[in-house]
Amino acid sequence: MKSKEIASKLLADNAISKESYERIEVGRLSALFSLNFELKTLLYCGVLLLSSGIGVLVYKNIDTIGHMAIILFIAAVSAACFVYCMRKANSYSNNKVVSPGILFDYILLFGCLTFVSFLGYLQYEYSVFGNHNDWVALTSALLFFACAYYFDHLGVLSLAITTLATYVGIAITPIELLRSNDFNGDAIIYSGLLLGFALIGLSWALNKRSIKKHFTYTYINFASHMLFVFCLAGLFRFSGALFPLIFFGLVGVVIWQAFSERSFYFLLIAILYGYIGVSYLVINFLFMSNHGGDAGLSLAFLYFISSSIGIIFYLISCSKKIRLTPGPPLPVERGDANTPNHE
Amino acid sequence: MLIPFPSLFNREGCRGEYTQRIMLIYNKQWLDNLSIRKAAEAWVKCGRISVDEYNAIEAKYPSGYKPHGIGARIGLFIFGVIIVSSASGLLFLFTGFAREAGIGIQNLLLGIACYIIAEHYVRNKNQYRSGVVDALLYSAITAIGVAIFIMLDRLRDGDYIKPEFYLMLLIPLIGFAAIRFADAFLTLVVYGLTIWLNALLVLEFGSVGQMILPFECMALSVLIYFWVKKQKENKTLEYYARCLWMIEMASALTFYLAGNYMVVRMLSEALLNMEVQSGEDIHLAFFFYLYTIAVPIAYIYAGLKNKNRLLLRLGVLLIAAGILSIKYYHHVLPPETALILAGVALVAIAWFSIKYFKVPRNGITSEPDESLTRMDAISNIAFSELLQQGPTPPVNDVDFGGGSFGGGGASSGF
Repeated sequence: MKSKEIASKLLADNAISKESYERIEVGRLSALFSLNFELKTLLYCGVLLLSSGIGVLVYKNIDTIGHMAIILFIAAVSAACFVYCMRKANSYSNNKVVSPGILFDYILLFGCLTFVSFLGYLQYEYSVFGNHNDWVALTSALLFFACAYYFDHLGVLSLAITTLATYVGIAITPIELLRSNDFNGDAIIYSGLLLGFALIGLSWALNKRSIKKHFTYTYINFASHMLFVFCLAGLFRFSGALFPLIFFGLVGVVIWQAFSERSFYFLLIAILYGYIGVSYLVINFLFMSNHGGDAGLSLAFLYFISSSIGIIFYLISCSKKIRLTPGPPLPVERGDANTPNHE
Repeated sequence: MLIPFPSLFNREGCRGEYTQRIMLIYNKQWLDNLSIRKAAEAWVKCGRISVDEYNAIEAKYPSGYKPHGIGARIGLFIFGVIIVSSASGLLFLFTGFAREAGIGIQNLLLGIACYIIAEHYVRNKNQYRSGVVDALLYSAITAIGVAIFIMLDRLRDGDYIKPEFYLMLLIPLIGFAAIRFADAFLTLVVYGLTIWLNALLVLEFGSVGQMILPFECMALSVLIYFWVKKQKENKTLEYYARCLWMIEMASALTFYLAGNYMVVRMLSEALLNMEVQSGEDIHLAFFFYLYTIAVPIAYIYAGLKNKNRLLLRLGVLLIAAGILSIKYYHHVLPPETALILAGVALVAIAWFSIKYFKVPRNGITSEPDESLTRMDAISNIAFSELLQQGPTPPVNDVDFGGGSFGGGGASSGF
């Protein structure tokens, strides 16, 4: 039924008063056609294209005559963006600060993205950080964290977290390469876990001090994916009891967190990652003990059927529970269109 | 008239609303009540109706269907698929992979079993838009489709069976499921297969068919598009809003693709076995270049003029697709220049539009949708507290505006 029919039906059934009916009709007729989301998306795509175009331009023009002009231009663009944001920004607060406008958010994002190009170029051409290529990522990450907090921008926060992860990745890789000539080595797994726990610790500490509480969701989201992925990698790689223990502890904590924040999303990722881990262990065990025979295969199918049925019932009951129990609201912003999520 | 499976059909089916009365598996009263409850929830959140009225509506219009949030639906779908595929694996393991015909029959039985369970879940367990039913239904159709394919393959006597024949069997089958479950995804599949069948049939006419294929496809899409537009007002199809939306989208898309330069060129290269030499171009090249760019612009214009979000978004996506498909054949600019120019153009257009539509013009605004903002403004907890506190003064339209709350707010979904 269309909302107009519903309103008339409710009025005819005496379920709503005449005044309510009029309010509904006025609201329906006066509703504007909002292009907000579409325009934001366009702006976001434009900023991304522009900054990647600039990146390619710098890369192609390294060691040519025009490169100095280009790099100065990029530095000027980046600086101009930051100056604009400084002048426009509302004053800092530990709480959520309203953005002064749609354009502001994207100019800040653009300034940050061009800054990376600029810094990367400086390091490549003049080795400002000496041999430490990873310091480019670290410096950018620190700047992004500062911007995210100062200007209250969730998109830049996501950028900061991913850049930090890049830093850890780059910093680890050479050591790993020297030692075992292996990219998927143990050090990456441990450092990934460490970073995940560090992010959770950081968000927890900041949350306790009520500094930008609405950032918590972004931290937890990144950190839980990171922890799950690296725990799974550890589970697949090492045979001891350590990783299964950490892994199932993690699944339990995330499920508990999901209930306390009434977030079905966290419940779902905990169950999906958890299922992958459990299934790996079960299948591994079945095939180890049966030497890959038909009996092992049948048992594996039976395991999948029975476990999935169990999870379906669990999901349905959780869905009801989360829907029905009023709890505290999510203390979070779930990346709305205002704050593009970065990979 | 004689109905082959009376239990499948609603008993009170009357001739006037023949098709949907007979076919739809869901309880219409409950569907109506569900949309009433949904509307009431939105209205109470933005203060259009009072909390007392809302509570009264909740009590007066009960619905047996309690749709899950999108997260639960995805999870249920994934595990439903795991169950069905493991069950089929187990079945094949027990019966052995012996003969091809046996596999066909097994698939058929599996598909029918899945379908019966899906029906059972909807009719007796009151599942509505739950992932499990989707998983069962799609598995049933896949299994039956595979079974038909294998059996047809067995039937052929050394001859090659035309895909048209297979499609003609498949389309009514999936169409039945799409109509019975009012499923938008299956509707899309049916539409795609129909367009494919249509193309195959046109190509039967040899070189004439190859010449007219793009234009015939355009004409068909236009016909379907306007037919669907008309059907949206049809009261008997009101439960099929999602399916109609899907066909509307798909027909606007195929209308464009039928004349897209890249599609036409690839098809003519494949069908006519011709190589386009450098310096040459396909027939009517100019028309297709123009079409590739002009149609999306027309979509955007029509979308803005008629406030049709579907056409507007499609137009924006297709204009990007159009530029890329022409760029695929003609490298005019080096990539970095193209990236920068495209970026500047997008930012400039968005910037200009944001400024221009800051003040609403022709009912179009660049500010966030007020009703959505207000709905978001009260998160679930505030909402449930609101319900416990009892009546609130009516919120008038200006108070909650301004969008200072941004997005957020816990929905049951995530």
